[in-house]
Amino acid sequence: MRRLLARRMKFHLLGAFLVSLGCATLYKFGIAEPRKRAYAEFYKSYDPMKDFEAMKAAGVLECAPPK
Amino acid sequence: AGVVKAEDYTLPGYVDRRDVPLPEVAFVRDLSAQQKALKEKEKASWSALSVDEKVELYRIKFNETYAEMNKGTNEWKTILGGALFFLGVTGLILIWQKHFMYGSIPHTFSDEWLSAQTKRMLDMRVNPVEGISAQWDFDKNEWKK
Repeated sequence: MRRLLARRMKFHLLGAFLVSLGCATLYKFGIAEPRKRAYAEFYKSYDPMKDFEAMKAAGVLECAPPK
Repeated sequence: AGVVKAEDYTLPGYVDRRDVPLPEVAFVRDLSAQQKALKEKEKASWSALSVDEKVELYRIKFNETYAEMNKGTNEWKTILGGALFFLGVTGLILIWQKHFMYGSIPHTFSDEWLSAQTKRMLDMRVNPVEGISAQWDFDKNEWKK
């Protein structure tokens, strides 16, 4: 009963801090970093003209028909 | 005469709460003759009281000890079981609805339509970095392993 609120508050403040830090860290290293790497990898060897020709040939561009 | 009797709930009451160490009234309201005698004995020196008498005095004043009050129950099992049960009932209702009530789904969910749709998405290079076009091998014309 002694210091009931203080003890509970200390526990929960510490817990909240750790949980939010943990969530942020997990997100950064689980989602954000892989995504950044995926984009870097993709654009390393990306040729937009080749992509454009492929899309044109497939016939999905209304203003650039395959002809 | 002409005065309304004070209802029970309007008078100070007893509570078992962690943050109320000394409730407004004692737990036992109407003492038996034996307990009244014990209360008289309490007015004398406390070292004359036996352990059982001290416990009896405690139980007159309080309902549960802090340990008894804070003890957990098995209520969570009932709650979890009840919630899962009603989720199951909901599932049965949904199955009934799908079987007896709903009409057909749109023709755009047929296999032919879906494969044509997917092919068009791949042709357009939808989500080429992390999404669907990233899972397709354009050189071999098949899904990536």
